[in-house]
Amino acid sequence: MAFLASPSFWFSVLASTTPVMLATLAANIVSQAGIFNLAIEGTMLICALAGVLASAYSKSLLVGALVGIAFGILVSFVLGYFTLVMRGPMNACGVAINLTATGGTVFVLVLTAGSKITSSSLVSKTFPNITIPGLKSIPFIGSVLSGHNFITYVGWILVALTWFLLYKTKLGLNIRAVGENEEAAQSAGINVLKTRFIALTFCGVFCALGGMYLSMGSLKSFTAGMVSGRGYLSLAMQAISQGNPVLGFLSSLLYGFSDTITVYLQLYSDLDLKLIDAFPYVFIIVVLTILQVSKSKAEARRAKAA
Amino acid sequence: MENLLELKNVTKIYEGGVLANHNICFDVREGEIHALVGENGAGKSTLMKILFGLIPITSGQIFLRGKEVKFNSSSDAIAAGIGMVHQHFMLVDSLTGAENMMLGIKEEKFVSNRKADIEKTREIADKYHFDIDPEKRVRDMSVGMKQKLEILKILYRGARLIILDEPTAVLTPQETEELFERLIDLKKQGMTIIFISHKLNEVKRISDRITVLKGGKTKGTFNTADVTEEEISNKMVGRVISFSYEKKPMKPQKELLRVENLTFKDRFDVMKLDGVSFSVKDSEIVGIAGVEGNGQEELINIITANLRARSGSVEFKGKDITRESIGAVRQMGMSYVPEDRLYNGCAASMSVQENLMVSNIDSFARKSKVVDFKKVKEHCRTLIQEFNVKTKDENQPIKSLSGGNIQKAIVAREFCAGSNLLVLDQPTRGVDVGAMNFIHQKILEMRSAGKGILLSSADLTELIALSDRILVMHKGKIVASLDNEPKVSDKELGLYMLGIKTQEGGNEDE
Repeated sequence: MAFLASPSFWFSVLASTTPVMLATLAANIVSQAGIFNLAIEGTMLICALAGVLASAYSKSLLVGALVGIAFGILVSFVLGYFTLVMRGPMNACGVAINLTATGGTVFVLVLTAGSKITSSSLVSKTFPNITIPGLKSIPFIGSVLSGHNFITYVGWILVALTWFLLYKTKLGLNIRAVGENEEAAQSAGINVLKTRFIALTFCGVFCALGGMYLSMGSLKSFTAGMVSGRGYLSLAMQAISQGNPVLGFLSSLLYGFSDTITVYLQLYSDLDLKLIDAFPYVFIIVVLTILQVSKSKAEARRAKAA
Repeated sequence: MENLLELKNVTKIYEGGVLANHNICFDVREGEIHALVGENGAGKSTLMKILFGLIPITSGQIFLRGKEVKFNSSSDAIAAGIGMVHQHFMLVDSLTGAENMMLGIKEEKFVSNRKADIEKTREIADKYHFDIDPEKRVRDMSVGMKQKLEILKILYRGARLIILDEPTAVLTPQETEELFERLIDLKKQGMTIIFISHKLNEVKRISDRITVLKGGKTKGTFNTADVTEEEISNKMVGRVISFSYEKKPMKPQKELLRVENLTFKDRFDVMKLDGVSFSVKDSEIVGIAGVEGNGQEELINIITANLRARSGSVEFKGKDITRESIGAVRQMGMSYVPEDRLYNGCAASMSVQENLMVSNIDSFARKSKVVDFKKVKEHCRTLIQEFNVKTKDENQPIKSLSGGNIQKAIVAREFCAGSNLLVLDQPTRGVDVGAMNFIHQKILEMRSAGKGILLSSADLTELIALSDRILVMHKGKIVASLDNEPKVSDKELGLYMLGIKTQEGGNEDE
């Protein structure tokens, strides 16, 4: 386990945290507005492909990024239209979007790149890695924190901004009020539908960044099904963090850590590969169980003392 | 005084063809407290929803300060200076008082200033002499404080005409008194108040004028000073209903229910039950009083096995049922009329018949386990007749009946199940006076038949009229166990409910 002390291990932890962190942020803000968005997974997948294709055809990273974000917002609005305007069931609409995304992205991939698996035949743009000059020279910390992808840094800033938005601004207060008691919010003169769509807009942007990080950051091309459950995982992270973006970031670090350790285990141990692959998920379940058990034990202790 | 608000021939017909308001005419003068009284179903709530822009009118005109107005939504009404305090408070529980005050205010800056908000809330509260804590979260506030916050919220939004929908239904007598003082204060500051209630003594005490509604029509507007309570009551109900009942003296023999040292904590870690012990014998009615949210709901849910206690035990007929399932408890002979009749009491979209047989369907099954519908029908018809349920036939969906009739149907099902203990949670909430009277008679019949009855109610008159003993709950504890012979006064109950007074050794153990 010597690798735990190496900066490159912790660097990878932060890198693989990024997409889950953004997805969790998306889940945080819509959940605060009282929406259960199962479609985060599919939204990320669609945006990952949209960004790659747009940047490949326009030869511009900016256009690619904007198209990706536009798709994120669009897909979120589709969910919003069906669930909030037409009053469809949220989970069914979410599943529908996810299934559309799984099949649709492969279909479009065949049409454009001529492959069912990857877009590598297209030359697409990627977000640059950024070296932070002052930070880089600090030993250990420098090599852990510097040199990450552009989206990772944007994500960190967004975590802070979203926290500020939710807890320190009028809009955030409105979002939380709408999520907790729709009628009360309405009677206070808040436009409930508009507030929810604003939350969905943020959700779309965060999903898009998370998706594009996968296809235009950590990898240089799109592969079918590349989100591989990160969107669903974000819902678990949301359950732990209860809508708080900072806690959301910390809980997604949990995923980043276990995901990275898997990669290292594959290199350094002779356990069965399949078993190692399951590690992140088993690890998260174990941590969740421990958290829950210790919580109820503490409660029981307090009940006895009282 | 000029007319602030005037309604001319307002009629409202709902989509289903229900005529809720018919040619309503009444006027409200600037600076008065105008009471609107009527039985449940008389059309009070519909009228208020119209005034607040929540539903459109079918025909008629509304004038505000002499000008005709048409409200399309509640924001129109708010903009016109009308505010409404609903029976269910429109507050966000996890936010603080100040945050609720500032919610949705357009002039607020984008980045909120906590300190300034709290300061502003304090200022407004002081201006109107309302005592609230702006830093407290709403979920930690007492019902009385929530109501005050709600009224302040409306005042802050510029309301000059305040509509209060049965504001005293959830308050203790003392809290009611305080509310009245504040309302009279507001009147002095030039506010106009419409006060909806069916408690005539309160109306008599506080209002300047009274408008009586009956069956969707106005029965006239009177100067409060010129009419007596009896006269209003006559106009409202059409007949005089008495709530003093003859109670046969009974001799309880054995203990049916024994609750010992129950504790429970909710998900916010609030101690909802804190060492509750009492017992219920046969042929007696034990009432539970308390301000809403002081643990009564949890207590009832634990006894009926809908909720698990953290510690302590429930014994029914000498058997420990703390960990039993709901089905097993019912089978042993406990019946339950829950508080929320549409959600827990019945399957709303199913027929009256299906709802009447659901808890004892086994007794209608043939040997082959196929239900004998002829027998069911007979059974249902007897119940419908005996309990006076007004329904077209037994196949009508139960949700299409009026609240009072749904409740009578549920009471019929539970009372005829042949059980020994009846647990009743707000058995007459929101039902009309006639049905209330009927249900009361049935409860007393059950007592004479030797059943034990545990009655939790927010209606103190009901508790005092029916109970043999009254337990008062405050903050999860039983603070008093009062013998209701001779009758306890509601003022005294109120003192215990507020926690001002406690009995020595409040937790009885006999």
